[in-house]
Amino acid sequence: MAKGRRLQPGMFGFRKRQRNDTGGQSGQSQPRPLPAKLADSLQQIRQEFHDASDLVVKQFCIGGIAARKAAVLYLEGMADGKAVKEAVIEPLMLWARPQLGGGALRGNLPEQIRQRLSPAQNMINLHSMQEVAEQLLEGNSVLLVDGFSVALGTENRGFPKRAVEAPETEVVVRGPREGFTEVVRDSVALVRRRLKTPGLVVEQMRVGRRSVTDVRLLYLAGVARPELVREVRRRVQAIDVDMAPESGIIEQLISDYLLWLFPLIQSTERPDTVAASLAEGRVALLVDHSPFALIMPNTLFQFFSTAEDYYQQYLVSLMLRLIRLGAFAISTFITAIYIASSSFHQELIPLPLLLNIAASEAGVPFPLPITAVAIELLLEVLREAGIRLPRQVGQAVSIVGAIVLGQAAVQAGFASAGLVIVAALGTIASFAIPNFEAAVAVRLLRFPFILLASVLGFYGLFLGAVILLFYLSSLQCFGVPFLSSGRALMLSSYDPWTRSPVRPYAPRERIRQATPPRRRQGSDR
Amino acid sequence: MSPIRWRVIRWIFLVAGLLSLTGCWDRRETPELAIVGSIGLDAGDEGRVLVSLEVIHADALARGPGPVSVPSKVVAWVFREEGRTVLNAIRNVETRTSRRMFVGQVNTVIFGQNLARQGIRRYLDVFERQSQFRRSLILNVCDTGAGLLQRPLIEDIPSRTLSGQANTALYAGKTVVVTLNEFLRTLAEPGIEPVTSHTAGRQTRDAMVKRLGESVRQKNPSVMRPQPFTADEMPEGELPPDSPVLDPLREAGTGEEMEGITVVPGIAVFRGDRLVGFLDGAEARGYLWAAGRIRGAILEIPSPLPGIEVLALEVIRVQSSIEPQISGQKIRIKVTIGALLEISEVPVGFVMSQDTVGRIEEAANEFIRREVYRTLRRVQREYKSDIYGFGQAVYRKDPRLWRRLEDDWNRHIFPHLEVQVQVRSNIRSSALLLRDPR
Repeated sequence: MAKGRRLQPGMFGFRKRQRNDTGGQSGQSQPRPLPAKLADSLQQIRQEFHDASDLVVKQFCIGGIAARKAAVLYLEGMADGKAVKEAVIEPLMLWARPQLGGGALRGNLPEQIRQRLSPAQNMINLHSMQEVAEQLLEGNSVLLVDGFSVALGTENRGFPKRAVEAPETEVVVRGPREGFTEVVRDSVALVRRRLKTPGLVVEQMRVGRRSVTDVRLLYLAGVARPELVREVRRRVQAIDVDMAPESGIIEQLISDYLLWLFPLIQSTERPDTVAASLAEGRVALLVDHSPFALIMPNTLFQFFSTAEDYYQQYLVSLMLRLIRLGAFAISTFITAIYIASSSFHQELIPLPLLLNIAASEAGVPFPLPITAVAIELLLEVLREAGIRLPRQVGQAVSIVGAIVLGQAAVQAGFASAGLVIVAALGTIASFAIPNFEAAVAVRLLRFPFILLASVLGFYGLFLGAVILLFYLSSLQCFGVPFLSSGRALMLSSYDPWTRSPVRPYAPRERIRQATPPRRRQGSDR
Repeated sequence: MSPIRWRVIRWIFLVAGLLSLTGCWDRRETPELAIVGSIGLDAGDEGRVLVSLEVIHADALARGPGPVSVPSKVVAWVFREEGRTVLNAIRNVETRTSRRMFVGQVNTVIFGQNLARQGIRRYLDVFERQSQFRRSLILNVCDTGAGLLQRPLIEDIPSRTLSGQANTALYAGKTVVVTLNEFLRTLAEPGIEPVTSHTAGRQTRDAMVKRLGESVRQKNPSVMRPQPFTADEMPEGELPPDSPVLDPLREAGTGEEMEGITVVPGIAVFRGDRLVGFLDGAEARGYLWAAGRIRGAILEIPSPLPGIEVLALEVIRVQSSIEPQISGQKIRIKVTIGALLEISEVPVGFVMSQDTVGRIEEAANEFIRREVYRTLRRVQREYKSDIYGFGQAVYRKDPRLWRRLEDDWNRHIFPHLEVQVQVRSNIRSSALLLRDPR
């Protein structure tokens, strides 16, 4: 398979604009300096925003001195109006007068505001119209002072956001309940709290000509390979689309292939997973507006691991991993195996089972493969219908639908009981794969295998398995073979299939001392 | 042409090539098949073979609520056809059935005595050659005929009753269970003759023919008639006593002699591929001791202890070795049998001690020795077939000598071999009781 065919922007309506219009802060146009006169500035800004109705402009006089006109601008709902009032308007309007005795008036007023008058922690000087617009769009407020061609940006964002909640797609029994939110700054903080080292590098990038999405590239300096970091950075910087509303789009835009079956970039809602991956030498991307972080490179065996694996004791998580691997195999192959053995290799089936199959299929009007595909499609429809319904209804649809419909289909003679059982088993097994996208891929894979098994029997099944293996081994993710283990990545992960046990650190001698000497029992009986 | 389109086309060619490989491949849906449970071979007219196929009625045996209601409880039919070859006879059966015969699940092949005496090698070929047959299927010789119909007793499927019986008889020290593979291997090896298990009491064609209400002589077995018939034809609740319905317990409870139920009393002795006779009961055990094929048995030995007439020993494990002693022209065979026994049932008054155990062991030695000699005498004089593999032992010891003796072995040398049997039995325990509790 040809390597590294890049995804071309242009799908899904994220077409690159040919006209180079005013959209965006792409920095290609020359910076326009701010006029010194307040009225001019305000007028230009209003014009820039096309008289946006949510642009709040508060004009006032610093210290109540009529000659010192100033204005605060912010976008309604994006900045916290109360914070603006407390940090900028109040101190300047009400308390600045005594500070501004005669001589001080001649100095650099914005600089004085920054240093002496406003208690805001984070004020920066803005010199161009573009910078002003950028600050406003970030949700910050901008202070303009009459007579100076420099504006002051104050950070007081106040847009609506969700609190940190438990991740819904990756539930753990044991482990932290924090999940990423849609605000990238909070997400970065969640990761940083887990890696308290200056070595955690957070690079900021902007993606999307109109959405101007904040993308953060995270890696551990000295742990992640520099080539990997460079490559990820290069690919993100090369993105040229209008809209990037979710990390799923970034994932597609930086992927190695146009079409792929298994997700080659891991996505997760869990900051602990990201932190652990960074410590293994992977690179993570956090995207604003998306609670899903991207981790790369990914390998096949990542699909079978959950964060919880590392929090439980070794034997338990070893068994769970093996069960998940088994579920992967069952989900992919079981329907196909059923078809192959009951229409080609009847001698493989134990006689009592064969009799059951023969009896239950005797009344079914359609050939087995057609029934099988129909049942599988039915299960997919049920699953799809259940996802988007409200939770209570959704459960009812999926369970009741599967049971009632399956039972009814068997009784009506549309399908044999064995087939319904096998198809349901395959679908349920796919739910045991922790990664949702991988589970979908597995369910997709079943159809070609059903086809192969019904035409060629086990021959076809093994042929398909070999082709699948070829395909998987041909995949690469950021130069790392998809089937490789963590060790081959030169990452510090030693557990591609199963994790290794954690050696207790306490020396044995101390454990022994801590245990009270055992009393001999039974000798006095 | 863009590379991606070229790639797609490559895949299409690949898949198309795969599909063209299939042709009319042996795809067959399960409901299209008539599942054959066992096959019986009898001597037919004019050198033909009479093949009986036991076709299992899947609907009657399937578990759970299926879509198909079961109108009759007949669990199996027997179809019978003649042919010069086995396969052709099976094809002849298929002309009368709506389904193809599927032999992949056959686990027993039964030979009627008459056919077995003529030699079975030519009929075994199809089982060896055709990929559908299992090599693990059990061979069996029935002394009456291989008519196959048998009432299901405990097992649902008639023929599975037979294979199950062979297995229980194996662990009772009464017979051997010989697979097709084993039989063919023994046939090919020098200096050893094959055996199979022996079935007796099988209901033969007459009874079935009688049930059909037709009078056909057994001499003319080529009756083309499916055997037997659905229960629908019978008045409700008035099934014929020997119809193969799923009610074995009622039948067993009556205590009446059950026709159509077989027993496996022993082994069938072959010379080459021809049946020469049977060894039943203790005679079969006499063979099993020497051949080291005994898998468990209960020995009722006359007690050497005062006041106790008989005691039962259970055979735990047996090892035997055959050692030819060649001196000049004289060949003597030394058979050593080591038996691990357990005292399993004794009448009142038994006390376990070093002394009693020693005496019981000696009695057991003698008992086993007698059994071995008795069988040996019969096999040597009557059957003249080296089923023990004495010749094989000679071949292994002195291949050149064997080459000279090979042709005359069964006829002239084996019957007159001097065989020395040495038994060392070892009683391991007296089960749970040391002494009589009273």
